[in-house]
Formats: sequence, structure tokens, C-alpha cells
Amino acid sequence: MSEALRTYPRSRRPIQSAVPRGRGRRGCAYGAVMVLAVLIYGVWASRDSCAVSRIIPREQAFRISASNLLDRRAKLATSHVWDALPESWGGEALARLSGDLGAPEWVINNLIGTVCHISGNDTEQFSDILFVTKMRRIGCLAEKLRRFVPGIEEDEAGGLNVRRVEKLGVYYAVRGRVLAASPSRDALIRALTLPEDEAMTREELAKTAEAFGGEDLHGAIRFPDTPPPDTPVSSAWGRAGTMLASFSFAVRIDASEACLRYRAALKPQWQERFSGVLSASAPRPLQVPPEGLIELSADLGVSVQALWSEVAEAFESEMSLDDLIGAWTPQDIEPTTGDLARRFLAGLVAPLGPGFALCWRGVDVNEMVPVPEFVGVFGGEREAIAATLASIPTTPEGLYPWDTFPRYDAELGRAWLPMIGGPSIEPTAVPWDTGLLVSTSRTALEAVLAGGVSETRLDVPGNVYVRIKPGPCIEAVRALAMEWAKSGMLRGYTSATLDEALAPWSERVSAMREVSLLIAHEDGEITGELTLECPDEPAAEPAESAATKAAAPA
Amino acid sequence: MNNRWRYSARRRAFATILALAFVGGLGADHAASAIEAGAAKVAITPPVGTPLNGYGARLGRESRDVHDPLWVRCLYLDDGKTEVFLLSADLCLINPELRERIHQLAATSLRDGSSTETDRPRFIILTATHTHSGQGGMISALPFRAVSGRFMPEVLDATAQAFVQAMQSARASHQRAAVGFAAGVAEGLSVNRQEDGGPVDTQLGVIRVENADGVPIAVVANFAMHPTTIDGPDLFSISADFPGYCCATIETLAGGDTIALFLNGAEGNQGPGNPEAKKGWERTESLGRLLGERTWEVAGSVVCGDAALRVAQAAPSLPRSLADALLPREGILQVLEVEVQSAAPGETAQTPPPETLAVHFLPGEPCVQIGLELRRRAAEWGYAAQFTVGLANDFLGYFAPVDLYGTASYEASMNFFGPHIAQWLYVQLALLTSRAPHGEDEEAEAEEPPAVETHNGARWVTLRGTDFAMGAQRALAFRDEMERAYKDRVVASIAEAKMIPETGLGRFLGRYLDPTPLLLPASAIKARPRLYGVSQHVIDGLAGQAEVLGLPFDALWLLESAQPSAPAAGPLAGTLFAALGERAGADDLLVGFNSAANGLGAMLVTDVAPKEGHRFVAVSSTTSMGTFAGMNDSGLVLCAAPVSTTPVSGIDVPSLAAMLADESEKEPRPVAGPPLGIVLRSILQDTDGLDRALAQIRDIPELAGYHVMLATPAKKTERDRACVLECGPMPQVRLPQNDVLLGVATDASQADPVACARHRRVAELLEEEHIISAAELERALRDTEPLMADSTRVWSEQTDFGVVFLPSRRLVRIGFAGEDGVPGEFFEIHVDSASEGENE
Repeated sequence: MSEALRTYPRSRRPIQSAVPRGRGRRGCAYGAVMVLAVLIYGVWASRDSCAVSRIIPREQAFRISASNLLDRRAKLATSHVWDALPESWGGEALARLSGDLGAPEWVINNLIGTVCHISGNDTEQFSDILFVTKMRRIGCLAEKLRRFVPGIEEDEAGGLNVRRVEKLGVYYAVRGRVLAASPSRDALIRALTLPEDEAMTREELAKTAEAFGGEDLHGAIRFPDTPPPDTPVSSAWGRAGTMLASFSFAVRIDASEACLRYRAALKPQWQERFSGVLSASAPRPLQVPPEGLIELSADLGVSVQALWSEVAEAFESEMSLDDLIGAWTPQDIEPTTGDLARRFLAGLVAPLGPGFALCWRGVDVNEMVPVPEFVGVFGGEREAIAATLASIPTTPEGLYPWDTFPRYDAELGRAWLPMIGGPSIEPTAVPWDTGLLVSTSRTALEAVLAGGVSETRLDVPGNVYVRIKPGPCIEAVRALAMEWAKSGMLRGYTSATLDEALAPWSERVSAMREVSLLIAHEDGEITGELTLECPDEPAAEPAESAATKAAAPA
Repeated sequence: MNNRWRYSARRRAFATILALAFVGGLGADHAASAIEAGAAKVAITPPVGTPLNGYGARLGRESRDVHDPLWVRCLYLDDGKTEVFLLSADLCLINPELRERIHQLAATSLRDGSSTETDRPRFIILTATHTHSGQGGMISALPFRAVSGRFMPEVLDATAQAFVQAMQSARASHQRAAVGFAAGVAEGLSVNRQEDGGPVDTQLGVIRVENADGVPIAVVANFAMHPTTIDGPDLFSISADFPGYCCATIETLAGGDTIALFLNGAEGNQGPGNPEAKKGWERTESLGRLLGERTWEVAGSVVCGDAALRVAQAAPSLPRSLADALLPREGILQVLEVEVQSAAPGETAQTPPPETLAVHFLPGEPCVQIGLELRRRAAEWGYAAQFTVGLANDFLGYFAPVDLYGTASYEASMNFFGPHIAQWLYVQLALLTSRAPHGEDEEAEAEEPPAVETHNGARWVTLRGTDFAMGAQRALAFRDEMERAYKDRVVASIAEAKMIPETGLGRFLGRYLDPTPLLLPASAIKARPRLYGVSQHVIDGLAGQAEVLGLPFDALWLLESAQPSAPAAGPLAGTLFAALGERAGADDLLVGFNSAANGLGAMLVTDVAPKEGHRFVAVSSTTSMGTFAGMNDSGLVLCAAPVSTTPVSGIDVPSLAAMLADESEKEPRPVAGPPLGIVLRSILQDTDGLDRALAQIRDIPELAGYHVMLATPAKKTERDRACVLECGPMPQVRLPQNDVLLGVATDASQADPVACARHRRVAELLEEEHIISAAELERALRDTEPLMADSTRVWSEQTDFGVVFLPSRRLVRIGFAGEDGVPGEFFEIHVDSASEGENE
């Protein structure tokens, strides 16, 4: 304490109270008591007496959690990702969320907590969707003032004290600081009356959140063993439900990129069905595919021939590779020579795999018949492949160099099949360092060779990797269709109407730079990432080297 | 709808000519003078690998080597008032993309900055030698890439650049020059490839352009012959074919810097001969060398002098085509006239009158008949010589004269603008040719659409005038029906044709690709041979119908040939009866017929009074198929009805897919004839004798399954004045017995029993009458007494009409069934020319 001498002069004018001395003191005391009582009531009324997990049914078909939704809504709303997605995919809702919510923002911020949980069973109409969040204390108290807010009806609901927001058509109830809301009264009542063993536990809820870190949105979908009878199998949901037992995911949305990380479990019957393909699969370093509009790289640990057979069998397709090769009859050749050619093809396919990468480079619209150009890089035994190519029989006498019969140039080590038209309709193959480089087009193959085949592997191991550049894809399709439309041979379209029809698509895809998907399988579980990249400015679309992009797909 | 109709196509064409024709030179004050001329050539040999143009069999594959180089050669002429660039390139054709690119480049490259530049018209005439081994790759239109290969913009651009470079060089080298021309003869080099012994054009046209020293600047050879001497393993070698050797020979013989140009003529059906019996490239060299030597020989005899140039060009609208989606709507035509004033042979001699050469440039491959006709006309108009040049400025396919249009030949099938394309060319070229009389075709008489009247339930239409006009009237009268039929029977059939396999990738492609633009002309090609032997009257009539309906001729012919959607005709639902001689009494000959339409269209009575040929009255269906009955003013009667369940003749459009898809079907299909109604109408218009009519009908395969009764009131000394032709693979002619002739032999074991019963009933009804009158025959035809069953009545519920012909009186009595199926009152029509239009 300071030792300084202080003086406190008295007031020359005596202070006179406005009220009688005794009454003033009493008033203050009452006031303090009232405030205290209100505070105590406030604290008591907003006590955290109910766990969020207690209101969330464990067996819901889907469950989504969003963290810091309100804090992030501005960032989410300004992302270019929404320009690339249909409005029904959330952009519309997000725009609404970032706009006027019909209440002061501080109220909204206090009503909706840090984490929101959305769950339900109706995966078609979302009619029983249940929204659960833990309000802040202020929000909880603000809710108590509902009587002063018009449009909120009390619903006793057998003592469950449910309320209905008339304007939104939503029922809600408050337990402790937990707010539960649903458009379905039944769903809400079911949640409020959950037996303990049917509700989630705190640990389960925490575990889900941990699995996907701090992403914007994460969730899990559990597909019933037998889809509900009214679920259309043709819908995406229906199709997924036939194959998957569960699907959990986390979504991050940045200014120009959206990333979906997922984990899915196949249903036992599908595990059985794909056992031939998946039994040997574990995430592997995948070959970077040649640059194209659509790129695919795959390695499931089995040869191409086995993969084809297994996939054909899994999908009950009759397109067996043997049949395809058997059905191929080169023009103008004797049956015996045809057998040779077929044996050659079978011999060529046998050593291919397990890894391979394919790409669609676009369409050569100038070719005699406009054709798509594909390039494939197959792993395999180089010696065996080279020997097979070299085994192509000598062109039979009487055939001209342009007749359709497999050819082999020992000097170039290149095999090709003359067909109609120009070089873009000339399937060509050449042994590559660790396998075979093959293309439907000689020019495409030469372009890939000139650029050098990348031996780089993708950073993240997986089993299948797909990358699509939607803008150039649509442009290639447009150019192809336009060639036919100009000759009046495109069913239902002229050049002008085709342009009109494709304009919305072009506009939509101009907001996307590329979409990539990585799939990895291990022990019956599929994991991976789906990434949507958008240009920073939707109008400008900087071209980026496919090789560079492919090296870092995630 | 405006009910006045005019020959709109011709008027439209004339209007287009007036609007588009651009003429330079040879005015009244434009006398021959010394001209400026230059020539140059620039290589256009494409890189190896470029596809070649000319043969679809190459399937667009790449060329493999260069046998001999390709050139574009240019002759530049300037008479002070008109500038002409005449170019000849070793190409198969001049396609629109190339032409447009050349003109685009020339517009900037040929500006010389001189003051006179804007005053003088400048004409660029682009021609191709038609070598089938020159570069393709210059056509962007998808359907044509099957022949010219992948589209290579760089080849197109390089070729166009070479053209313009040749033009620049030719003009840059211009000097004082004199011009002369001659029409020589080169026999034994070419053959008519379409018809053994067919016409061959042996004229070898030569233009010589020489400088003041008499040294040739350029020699132009014009000869009609396909450059198709290369085949087999050499098919993928780049070559100028024989024109290359021809030009090289001339240039070698002339020496110096002389440039030789080869302009192909009316070579549509002119193939290369083999006068020295050589093979492979030696044959190519032989033909070119012989032609070059002969050209040089002719050029040596040419006397050159001052010249005046006149060029006229236009792009009139082409006749309508089923290949409209693939071909241009306008045809570029050019006419170059060179008036040469030869110098007097001596100082005292009188200057000979100037002589004028007319060169007609056509955008396609005219058959030789067209070239010869143009030459004949030019000679009539006073031209000293005329050259026809094909493959100029564009490529619209082949041009065949009308009499070749229906032949099953490649030249005919590659015609896309109807049978009157030759006439169209004559008219349009005449409009561009200064000495041709103008204005004779453009004004056409106005025609009223004919009234379609109804008499006792029968529709009746009267047609008058030329065949074209009558066709137009027919179309005006039945426009709605015909348009509906075209949609139902042609467009729908084409749309249903399965060109793309419905499995695998085909199913996917079929969802998006519509081959109709290819199928329509392809179907027309398939149907066209059925025109073979059809008279000019019929073709003109069909053209008139097409004009009014706004359809291409081929579309109308497809309609006439297309199978109706109704089921095939059943057994003969009619009765044919004829009484002759004494049994016919004073009438001498009576023919009775009743029949059903068998679902092949509505029946109608047509009273036809053509400007040329016989007047006739016919009862037939609107589809030209099924039942037919008619008589002309010579008394010739034709009645026909189907008697078997053989499908009615028609073009089976969907089968086209199989035909095109099945490569193994290399053998030509048997050529079917025209539909029944067309044949019989044509015979009634053109023929007056039974024998001639019989000869025309009996071998038409399309009539298989028909019984046709023919009768004529010939002289009484002749016995066979009526007969029934039972058509089929082995046609049988049946004659009257006891002056009575029935449509079906009642005692024939193979005859349809119902038809036999019906004919037997008529015979019984008339048996009691020794002399049968028209009224009794009419009564017999209207007999509704039930026999075994309804269908064995003479007039059954299916019967649509009955008709009695009195040929000697040129009288027809017709009755139609009412709505209740009961025969209505018969009414009369007089068919003699004096009573035209009368009826009771």
C-alpha cells in the first residue's frame, strides 16, 4: 500500500437523498435480490442438463454434423464452388443462411451452437429430418421469451412441451440447452422420448467428429440392408443403397475448391460379388495417366485380363474379353489368318497389368468420321509384350498395305492396324519402358511419345484415380455434335439449336476446372477423396499441366 | 391458297439470272484488239499421307507416295476491258471450301493498285482436270469425307495459296499476245463407259495464246475423258493421271516457258480408252502423250489474232434436290466468249470476219450428250466453235440428259437435281451466252387449277395442256392428299429405316444420329432405275406435279414408287368382261369392268386432254397402283386389276439399309419397272394399237400378279381385237372364245375360285342374250345377287366402281358405289377429241 499521505476534503454541501434514507436502502436491496434471483433463474433455466447425444437416435439412416456453420457461412457463401454445383445442392440454402434469418444475428448466433447435428431416415423427401444443437446460454434464455414472439404455438404433446414455428412449419423442443427441431412432429417426439439405449452416446458422437477433424461438414449415412420399398432403385441414393452398407464423409469448401473425403463399407453381397477384383487390392502408388480430358489410372493388383473378366462377371455383362477378341474379324483375310490375328490379340492382352492408365484426349473432328482418341499406358512384362508384337504374321500375299490387317514395323517396334480414314482411326501400339503404350489413334500416340510418358506416381496411394476436365469435355462433345449437325444428321438439332442446348452446360462447366476422384480399397472398406476445383475467377480458366495436377490429386 | 399457278421455277431462275449475272466485255463497241496474256504454273503436290479424292473405295486412307507432281496452271488474259484468270488444277474437283478460300486470298493478293483496277471486271475461272489421284482433305462437309478423306485445313490453305500464286505469276508475266482457237479431233482415245457404242465426243478443243514472236505463251486443250487410268496397287499414289502427261508433252513440244492447260469436257460418261494397249502407268502415259501430241498438232494449225473477251457468270437457283442438305442451292455457271479477228492473209486480201469461241463452264460432270447438245446449239447461234468444260468452280455431281436419268448407271445415280437438269443447264447457259436468243422460256402461260367435281359419288378431274401443266393441275387438285401420302409413305418410311444397327454402339449412335439426309438421296438413287423406259410425257407430268408440290422430282418419284402403307391387294375383287363382234351387236366391242380399290388410295376419274398424244379417260387410284381402267380417243381400252396376293409393287425403303450395309450384295438388283398407273396412262396417251400396248406391258415385272384386258376397235378384218394378259414370270395372253372374253378363265384350275365364280356369274347373266348391249353389260356388272357368299357377288360390298367401255363410239359409262355400297347411277363420258370436256 502506498505510504503517500492523502487528504479527502469533505464536501461543503451536504448530500441530500431524494428518498427517505430508510426506503432507498431497502429498494437497493430488493433490486439486488431481484437481479440475483433473475440471475439465479437464468443460470438455472439455462443449465446444461441434457446431452446432445441423448436426443440423437443411433439408428438414423443418415447423420450429418456441421461445425461452426454460422461462423463459416460467409466463407462458404462466397466460394466459387457453388457456381459449379446445382442450386439444389446447397447453394440456395447457404445463400439463405447467409442472408436475413428473420431474427437479430446475435439471437441466431446464440440459438445455434458450435456444432449442429442433422439426422433422419427419409432419404428421399427428408421429411423426418432432425436438427439438434446446443444453444448458448443467452440463446437458451432468449428462447424463454418466445411468448413475446408471434407465430410460436405451444404444443403440450403429452407433457413434452413441443412448440411449433408456424411460419417455418417446424416443431422444436428445448431440453436443457439442447435445441431439437424437425418438420415432423412424430420425429421430434420420437427423439425426445428415446430410450437411452437407442440414443447415441457422448463417446460415439465425439468419435465421429474426431474422424474428420475440423472439416466444414461431416456425416454418416447408413443404408438399410433392404431398401425401403418406395425407394427408386434408379435414383443415386437407391443405387448407392444397393451397394453400400454405410458411407461417412467430411466436406471442406474453400474459396475455389471443395473436397469430399469419404469412407464407405460395401454390403456383404457386393463384397462377395467383387471379391475377384478386390481380394488382391490394397492402396498402391498409381501411374500418372497421360494428359487428357478424362484420365483414369487403376491398379487393383490383378492383370487387365483378369480385371476385365471379374468386372464383366460382377456386372453380369456378356462382354467377355475372349468373346470380343473372338468376334473380331479383320477385313479381307483368310480364316486361318484371322485366327492368327485373334491369337495375337489374346497374346498381347495376357501380360498386361496390373497397373494401367487411360486417357481420353478429345475428338478429332477433322477425321473422315470424327472419332474420340484414347491412349492407354499398361504395365506388364516388356519382353513378353515386345515378343507378342513381333509375332504379328507377315501380311498375306494379295493384301495391300492399306488393307485392314495387323502390321508390325520391327525398326520402330510399332504395331498398328490400318482401318478406314486417316491416322486418328489407326489403332497403334508400341512397347513402353515397363509395359505397353497403346492408342486408338496414331497421332495421339505419337503426341504422347513426343511429350514423354510420365513415370511419376500419384502422391496418394489408391486403386482407382479419375480426373475430369469438364469444360474441355463439353467443348469436345459440342465440336463432335456440331460436325453432324452441320450435315443435318444430328437427331433433333441444327447447328443453332445445338448451340442453344449446350449453352447452359457450357456455362455450368465454365465454373469448374476439374473434378478428381481417388478410390482406395482395403479390407472391405473404400476410402478416398472427391475434389472439385474451380477457377479463382469463373470466367478465366488457366490451363494447368495435367502431369503437374495429376501428381498432386488431393 | 392462290389458285393461279405459274411455272415458278423457270421464272425464279430467270429472276436470279437477272440479279446475279455479271457480264464483262464484248459490248457493241468492243472490237477485237491485241491483248495481254501471261501464264504460270505452281506445284500443288501435297505431302505424302494426304488422302486422295475421287474413289470412295479408298475409304479415306492416306496416300503413300508421289508418282508424278500435281500443278495448278493459270492463263491470264486481259483485253483492256476484261481480266480473265483461267485456272486448271490437277485436282478431282473444285469444292466450295477451296473456291471460297481462293477468292478470299485473291481479293487481297491481286490488288495491283492501278487506277483501272476497279473499272475492269475480273473473272476467275477455276477448273479441275478431274484426276482421281489428286489431294483430298479439302472438304469439311462430313458426308463427302467418305470420298475425300479427313479434312486437312493446312492442305486446303496451301492449295489455295498455290492457286493465287499462279494467278499472280501469270499476271506478272503478261505480254502482248494474240489468241486463236480450233476444234480438232482426237479419235480412239476415249470410250463411252456407260453404253457400248454410245456417243463419244472426239472434239479436241485448242486455244493457242502466243506472243508477238509467235512463241506460244499457253496452249489450252479441251477434251472429254475421265482421268481414271490408275487402279490396283497404284491407287494410293499421288498423280495427275493422263492430263499431267498431256500437259507435260505439250510443254516439252512447245519448249520454252509455254504453259499447257487441260480443261476436261463433258466427260460424265466418257472413259479413258487404251489405244496402245498398255497397262498400269504406261497406259496413263500413253493416253496423255497421244493427247498432248494431238493437241500440239492442232495448236500448230491455229491462226492467232486480236481478240475480245466476254465473260458472263451467274449462280441461279438449282432445281430442288433431295440432297439439299448436302449440296449447294445455287449452281455457278460461267461462259467465256473469245472473239478472234485473224489477220488478213495478204495485204490485198479482205479481212476475214471475226470468229467467236464459246466456252461453257459447268460445276459438275456433264454427260457427253449435254456437251454435244450445247455444241449444236452454239453452232446454231453462230459460234465458230464451242467447248464444254466440266468440274468448274464447284461440284454438283453428274449431269445426265433426261433419257439417261432412269438408267441403272453410276452416271444416272449421281444426278441429284432431277431429270431436267440438262434442260436447266441449256436455259441458264443460253441466258449467259450473248448470241443465244433469250426470253423464249421465261414467260409461261398461267394455268388454272382444275376443278375436282363429283358425279354420282365419283371424283372427277379434267386435265388439259402440256404434260408439265397437266402434272401441275393434278398436283393442284390433290395437293393435300399427295402431301399426306409423301409424309406417310416416304418420309415415315425413311425415318423408320434402320441404317444403324440396333445393338451395342449402334444403339447408342442411333439415339443421336439421323441418317435421313443420306437416306433420302440414296433411296431416290435406288428408285430411279424404275424410270427406265418411262416416256418423256410421264416425266414431264411428274415434273409438273413436283413443281406444284414444292418437292424435288426424286421425291415425287419416291412417292410414286413407295409402297402404300395399306395391306397388299387381295384376290381380284373385280370382274373383267368383253364382248366382240356379233355378241356386241352394233357396238362391235364392249368392255365391262368393275373393281375395288383394294385400299390403294381413293378412286377418281381423270379426263386427260394432253397437248401431245391421245386424249383419254381413266379410272384409277390416286396412288398409281392397284386397279386401273381407261380408254383413249383411238378406242384403246386397258383394264387391270391384281389377281394374286403378290405385294403391290413399290420401293421398299427400309430394305435400303440392308442393301447398303451388306457389302456382299455386289450384284445389281433386278431393275423394277414403273408403277402400274404410270405405265397404263402413258400407253393410253402414246399408243393406239393393241399390239404395241401389249408389247409395252408384257415384260414389266412390276405387273406380276395382274390381269390386264386390252381391247381396241380395230378393223373388222382383224381377229385379235381383245385379249387378257396374265402377267407374271411367264406372261400369258388369252384370246376371246366365241366373241366373249373373261378376265379370269373360269375353267382354269389354278384360278382363284371366288374370281372364277364371279366371272361365271357374269357369263351366265349375259349368256341368254345373243347380242349384248351396253345396258345389259352394265346390269350384269351391277348384279348383287348373292351366290355362295358375299364376295362372290358380281358387285360386292368391296366393289368401288363399274365401267363399261364402248370403244367404237368412244364412250365410257361409269358408276361408283354409294356410301351404302349399292352401285350408283352410271354416267357417260365421250372420249373423242371433238367432245372434249363433255359428259352427261
